Amino acid sequence: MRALIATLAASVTLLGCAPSTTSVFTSVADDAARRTGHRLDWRPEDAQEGLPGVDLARGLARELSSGLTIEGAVRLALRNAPALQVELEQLASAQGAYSQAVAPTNPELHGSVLFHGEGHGTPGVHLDVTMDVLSFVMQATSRRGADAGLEVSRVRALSAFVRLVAEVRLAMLDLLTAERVLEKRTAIVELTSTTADLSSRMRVVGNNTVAEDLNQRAVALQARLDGEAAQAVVLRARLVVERLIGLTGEATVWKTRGGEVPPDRAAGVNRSAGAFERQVVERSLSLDERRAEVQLAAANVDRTQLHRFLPQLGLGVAVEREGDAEMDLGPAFSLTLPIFNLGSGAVDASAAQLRRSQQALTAAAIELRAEARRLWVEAEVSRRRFEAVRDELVPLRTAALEEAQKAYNGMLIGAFALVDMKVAALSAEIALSEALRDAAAAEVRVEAARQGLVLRQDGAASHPGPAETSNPSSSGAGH
Amino acid sequence: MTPTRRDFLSATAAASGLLGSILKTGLAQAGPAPGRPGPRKVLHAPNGSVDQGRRVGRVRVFHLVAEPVTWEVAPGLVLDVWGYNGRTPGPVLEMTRGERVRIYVTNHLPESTSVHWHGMIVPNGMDGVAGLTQRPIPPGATWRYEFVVPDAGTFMYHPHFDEMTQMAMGMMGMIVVREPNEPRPDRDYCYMINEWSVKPGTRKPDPGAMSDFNVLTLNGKVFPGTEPMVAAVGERVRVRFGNLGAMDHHPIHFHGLSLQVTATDGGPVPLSARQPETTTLVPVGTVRVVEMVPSEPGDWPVHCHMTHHVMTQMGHGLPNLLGVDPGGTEAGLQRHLPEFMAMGHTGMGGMGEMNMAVPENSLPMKGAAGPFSYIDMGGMFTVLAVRARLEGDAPLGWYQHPEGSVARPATHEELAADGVAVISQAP
Repeated sequence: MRALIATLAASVTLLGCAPSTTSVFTSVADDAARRTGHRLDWRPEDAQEGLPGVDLARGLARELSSGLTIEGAVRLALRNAPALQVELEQLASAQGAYSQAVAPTNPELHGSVLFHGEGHGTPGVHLDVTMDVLSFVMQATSRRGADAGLEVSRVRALSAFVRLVAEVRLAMLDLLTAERVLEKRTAIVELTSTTADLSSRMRVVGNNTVAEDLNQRAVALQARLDGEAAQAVVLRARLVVERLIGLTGEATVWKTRGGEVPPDRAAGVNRSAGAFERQVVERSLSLDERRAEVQLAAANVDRTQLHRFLPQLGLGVAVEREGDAEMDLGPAFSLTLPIFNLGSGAVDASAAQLRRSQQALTAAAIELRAEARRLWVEAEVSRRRFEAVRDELVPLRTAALEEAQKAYNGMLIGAFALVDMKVAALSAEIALSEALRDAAAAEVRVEAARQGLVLRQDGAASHPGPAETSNPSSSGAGH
Repeated sequence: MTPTRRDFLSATAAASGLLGSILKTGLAQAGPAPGRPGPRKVLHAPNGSVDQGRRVGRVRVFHLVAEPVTWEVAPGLVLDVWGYNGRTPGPVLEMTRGERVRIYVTNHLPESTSVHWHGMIVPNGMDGVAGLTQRPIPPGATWRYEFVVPDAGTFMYHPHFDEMTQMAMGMMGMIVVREPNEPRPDRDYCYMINEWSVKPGTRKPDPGAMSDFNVLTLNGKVFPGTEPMVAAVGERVRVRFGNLGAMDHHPIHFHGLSLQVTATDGGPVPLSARQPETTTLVPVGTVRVVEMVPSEPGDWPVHCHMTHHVMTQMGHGLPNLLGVDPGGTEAGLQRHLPEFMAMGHTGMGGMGEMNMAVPENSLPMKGAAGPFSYIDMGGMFTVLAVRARLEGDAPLGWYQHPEGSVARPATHEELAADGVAVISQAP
């Protein structure tokens, strides 16, 4: 009985050592704040309602009514994005699994009552209580595995956070740019429809040919189609923002604050490529995840090796009483005999998984360095292109338009040629908006990489394929 | 009242604070009123110069320097051209039949050249045709031509090496040979006609142009840069025209008088062959000398009658908007092009007067202010100022018309009295 009590006491002690859900969340939140400057907001209460809380709804309404900015959208997304809450709940789930993994197995009670037949006295009773002794022996290994599993979840939650911040910024850049492009396209539509009108008026009084008139109408139609395409781009960009932020229903009636993407968003990489690469590697969440997976695999190797020859060992006490005799007390044990299954397959598999995790870590590190250099180059190239468009192309087009206006004043060119020059100037402004977007997007990717997450051009996080241990909350258990 | 383009311009200019500068520009481009009468019975090249050389023993010596020149065609248009002695055309070389002339030619051009004495019958080796009658004059060299002047008359000089380039760049000049002791007309003017292709906003004529010449010059100038001729009623006036333009012949028309062609570069026209004219055609590569005696005082236009030749740097191939109702298109385009104005739908008159900003170093649609209103013409246009008497040397100024001698709006009473019915037509 003393052994049983001791076992129970030890279990309680061990359970007390497991981190609480709040502390895990706080750890992730602190790390997120250090990396991005934004706080995590875990709202488990909203999951039951399926709707944002009152305070959150007020915040949403306030942000949306004042016109959404890039950073406003980020704030909203961090508070409202369901996808982020999914990752946070995954973290809570991992924490629960951690507690489960490091807890000792419960004692097993086996008993039997033997009836001796009519008139043969009190039935005999046999009870034994055993505990899996290996769970104590494997405690350190189990904890190591559980730590690694929890770390994977923690890193994934952080990655989701950083990714959300970056994706919202990228989506807002796309939206603001699409709106600016639409403005220019609308101006082109107005200009070309006006010249088409002028052409038809010329046709009415016999001043131009059918071919010339058709050409002007085709130019106007092409401009209108381009304008409609630009409108569709705006709508698609809005939908992406709404999906990321989690806006539905009435909340989808919103507008941006307008204006151009702030040029300081395209400030460029103010450091050397080498320094940037080192910084990206040091802060990489994907490498952290890979390292945790290696730890997890190593713990799994230890566990399978221990279980190979002693799959199960139970120790405890046995109590027996025959009839009215005194109760006998003695030790009890149970043992699984590794006769038919020596566990070599599990050992080989875990060893291979460990090697795979180590190689995945190496591959991820190599790819990460290459990706960091790519990001650096793309940021530099896109920034230079933006500056060239801003400082050279647009002024050139503007000056050319001014000269064209002078030539028109002198009746050296006609209205159609003048409008062509205006359209060229507007096209240069479209190129400027797009170049600014590209430079700012590259800077967002650079920023995300500094925060620990390398995004590919399509916005997805870059890492070399999912590891087999994709569900860390369940694979760390030492059973 | 419907706003006019002029109203729009004024409002726009005032709003943008440009009115002052526009007014200043307008004043600077006031038309060239007739100037001083100048001496009688001497050869005069308006806007040009006459070089009589200098006597060295029994020889008259000239020195022509072929060189790049910066040349103002009219205020607002300066060209980088080639010429002689700092100008285009070069100086009129004035000499006398029978005398020996020695003409030094210094080549300061970047390529070789030569000088041909167009119309003069000189020894073959002095004819100036590079390759055929002499070697070209290389850059930096000075060569000597020498001959006895065979005939009196009006001739020309120009290169016969890379003619297309060098003449398109302005290398040409006139030669006037007098008979010894010949009686001189009261007024003796000499013009070299040329044509240039100068893209508006540029400075260098295009030697490769074969059509669309857009700067048509009299002695290297276009109106309003042309200096008016002056004569008194009853004076005999001789005007010599030589045309060394690339492609175009020019019907030169005189207002207010009758003229006769008295000579070509081939010699005098016999009296029996002369006929009264008001226009004389000056084909490419020829000289026409006309004489007249003005009878009516006034400021009389003298101009090429090809209408495109009295426009400077006119645009071609533009959409024809004449008669087109612009409707809302003007306002529609102004939304995105604030300086846009519908132009040409009622005609093109008065455009130059608006003084809108045009490409720098260009004169599209530009004329000049006249005594009554803006003169729309440019290009090959000048004035023969005829006065009843010429006294002193004060500038003449515009002709002061006797009262009642200028066209004016008809009154209703006059129309009714003459039985002229006018159907009112909205503008």
